Amino acid sequence: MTRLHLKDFWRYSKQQMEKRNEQRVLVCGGPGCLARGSQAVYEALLDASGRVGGTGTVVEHAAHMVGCHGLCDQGPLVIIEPQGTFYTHVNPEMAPRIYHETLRGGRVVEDFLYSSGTGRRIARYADIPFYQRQQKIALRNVGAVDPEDINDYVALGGYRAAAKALEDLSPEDVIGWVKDSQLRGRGGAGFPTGRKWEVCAQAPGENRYVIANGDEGDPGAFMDRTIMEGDPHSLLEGMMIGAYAVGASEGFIYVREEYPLAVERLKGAIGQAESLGLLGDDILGIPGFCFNLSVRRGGGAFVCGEATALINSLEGRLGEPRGSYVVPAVRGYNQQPTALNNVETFCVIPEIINKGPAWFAAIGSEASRGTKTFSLVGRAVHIGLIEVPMGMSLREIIYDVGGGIEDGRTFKAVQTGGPSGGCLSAEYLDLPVDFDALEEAGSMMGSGGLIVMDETTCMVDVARYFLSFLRDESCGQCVPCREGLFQLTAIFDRIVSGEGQESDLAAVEELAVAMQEGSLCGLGQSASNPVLSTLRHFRGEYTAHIREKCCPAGVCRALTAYVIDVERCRACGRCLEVCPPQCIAVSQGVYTIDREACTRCGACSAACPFAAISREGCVQ
Amino acid sequence: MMNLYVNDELVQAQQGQTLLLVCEQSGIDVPTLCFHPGLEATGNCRLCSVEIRRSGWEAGATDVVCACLFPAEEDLEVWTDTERVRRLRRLIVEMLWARDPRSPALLALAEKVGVNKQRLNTYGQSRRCILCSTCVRVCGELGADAISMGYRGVDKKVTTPFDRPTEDCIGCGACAHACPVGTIYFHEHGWERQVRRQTFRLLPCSGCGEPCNTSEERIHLSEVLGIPMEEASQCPTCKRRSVGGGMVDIQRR
Repeated sequence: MTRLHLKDFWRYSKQQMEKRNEQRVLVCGGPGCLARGSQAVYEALLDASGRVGGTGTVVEHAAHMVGCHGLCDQGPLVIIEPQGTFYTHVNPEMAPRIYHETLRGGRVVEDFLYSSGTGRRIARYADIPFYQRQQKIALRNVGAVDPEDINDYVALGGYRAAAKALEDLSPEDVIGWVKDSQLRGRGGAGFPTGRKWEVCAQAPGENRYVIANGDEGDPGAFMDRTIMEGDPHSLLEGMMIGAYAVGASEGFIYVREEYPLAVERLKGAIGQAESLGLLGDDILGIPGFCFNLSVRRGGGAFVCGEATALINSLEGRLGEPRGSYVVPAVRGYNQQPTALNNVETFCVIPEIINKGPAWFAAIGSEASRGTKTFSLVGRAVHIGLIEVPMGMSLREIIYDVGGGIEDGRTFKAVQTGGPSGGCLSAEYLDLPVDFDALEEAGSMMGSGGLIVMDETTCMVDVARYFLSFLRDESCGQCVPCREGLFQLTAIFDRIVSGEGQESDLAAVEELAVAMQEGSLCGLGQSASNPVLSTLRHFRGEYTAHIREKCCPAGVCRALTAYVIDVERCRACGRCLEVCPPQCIAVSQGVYTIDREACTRCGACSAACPFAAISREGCVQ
Repeated sequence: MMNLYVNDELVQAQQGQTLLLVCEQSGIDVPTLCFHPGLEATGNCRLCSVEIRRSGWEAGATDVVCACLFPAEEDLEVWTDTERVRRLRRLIVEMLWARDPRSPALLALAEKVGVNKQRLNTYGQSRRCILCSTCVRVCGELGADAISMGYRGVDKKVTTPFDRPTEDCIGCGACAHACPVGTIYFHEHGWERQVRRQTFRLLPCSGCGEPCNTSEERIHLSEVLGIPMEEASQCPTCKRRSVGGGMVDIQRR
């Protein structure tokens, strides 16, 4: 391919948009669907259409493995455009019927359609409640575009924003537009992106750098992964606009080691963009505008998602945050001004340039404009990846988009913001989800993890899980974070094993506050959020663990007991056979478990054919 | 020059000075542990935390920052001994003390900040290193970059590649001298010196002939730091004598 000049680009873009095939068979290749075998579905569809080597059939031209569609619990998903027919739980055996009936016959196969809670079949993508309340900006192309083909991205209007910025806008204009859009960084802290870029552009320095943070480490979060795997070019385009705005000529995408597919797709995308003249030297024939982009892999440390630790890691140093009070926008990579933003932030930029800052600022809530992606996981009916306007309430997200709590259980808490976020109770369900409201409630936006919990979750156990995660992931540089997490986990281990004391809660609060005030970086400063928020909203559960030595949710092993329901027990003796410590006694046909000797392994409960043995939280 | 307030008194500072330096110049004591005047500050121990309030558009509630890193600002208000700061310092010392309850250096520090009881959880085995990284920084600054921080979190430690003795160590012992809690092993006996777990042979001083320093150290001093070999092979006493002798000569003239 030859490197394009600006005027050639517009012609090429128009050509690709006109040429785009309306008929498309999209097989979801998101992490969830891949794990459920969507690659085999894709192959089966090609086989069903009678794949013929190089020339190809209709299906071969139209079928694409695309990025995540979000509705992960229904996968593997197959979507047929332009009708928007949405098939769920597709397996390779279903491929011939999809080919013959839908693709050739034009009929919808009822059996394969999405079924709502009431059993109603919904044919079209757009009519499914999960998608109805969503608005996709960062994820606009994910699931629609072929992530390995730059032409497909251009056919969807890709790189037009970059060309527009280069042709019509000065770097100052671009910064002004981003400022006017009131976009705030999607990585967690929510710092205004426009202001960060302005500081970076004005800071003295010989070189400037643009870095995308793709070191997504929160357990259960996969927003950035989905974008990098499903739509790599929109990240490239956003970074290119950022580089133009701040005057950078070099950039890096820092991706965590655990995302090999993202690395592969990004490298492929960079190669394609370079050969078209969209990256490299003299971009789009504009002399002097150079932007060289490369992918760097992180070693898998959670703390390297912190901006300064990431920069240290990029420089080849130990991945520890810098204590300096000078921001990376002034002194970052190689001590030069560096615009470091989250992957999602960069992906929003092209749409702001395309549609204007006013369009973006009109979406969302007062202090948080636009949309936000969330990975909705836990006990919701529909789990997966969503993007909703800021300011939507937690209730709407969990019940309207997520479809409520699975198995008809009751909602107990939602954890937002990853390991350093907080848990909010049912009284916060109507809280609008934006940066400031979440922080006021003692949680945070974070990168966008939403973990829904029901009554079978123990909040003390949840707090303990996040503490132990952070204890293992703390870099260990500063005393409050390293030692504070050690002390807190030691106290929590005591509480869940029934050895908690009344004085423990005061000690926990004292340590948590010291960590907030004294820690060097954001990890330590926010590490006590899960503890403080659960203490604030679920204090009763803590006192139950400490005073009554019981776990109301029946989770903490040492505080629970296996109990045999005499009504249900048929005295079959299966539990006697499997019990490792032999602690089940029989007297006159009545089975009882010796609580002292029981190790709570659960073997009896699993073996009981009559479901007569259960784990109880509060038995004295 | 700029004006700021430390403990409600007007003091002056130069652009780029840290709050710790400003306090020191004004005779205000701020406790430190990982700070060393010859090394780049890292803010690891957080003991020098102070409470501040910024001026202008950033004004608002007070913040706790690390004095060894925070640069002086015009009209900044700094308090070095508020209850909030004292509480944080006490807990930091308590947490460090829990690593090694028998450390004399930490006991002294505990007394200084007003901690008199050990009430936190201790490690199964005492961890005598407080991970302040002073030794690593000193080794990087004037030694041979032979040691570094390894692992992370509670498992973090000062180490060499693969935890093995390293050829990079020149046996100068700067790490042991800089350690604020006296954890690093340094021992001289006859013509032998032990630093950490490595043993070095000592060479005689070119002046008095007594055991002086290691050959690795002499090579490093002359080749890397550019100190003339005759100076690099002298013991401190002889070096003082020769420099002092020169000064006496100057005075006589």
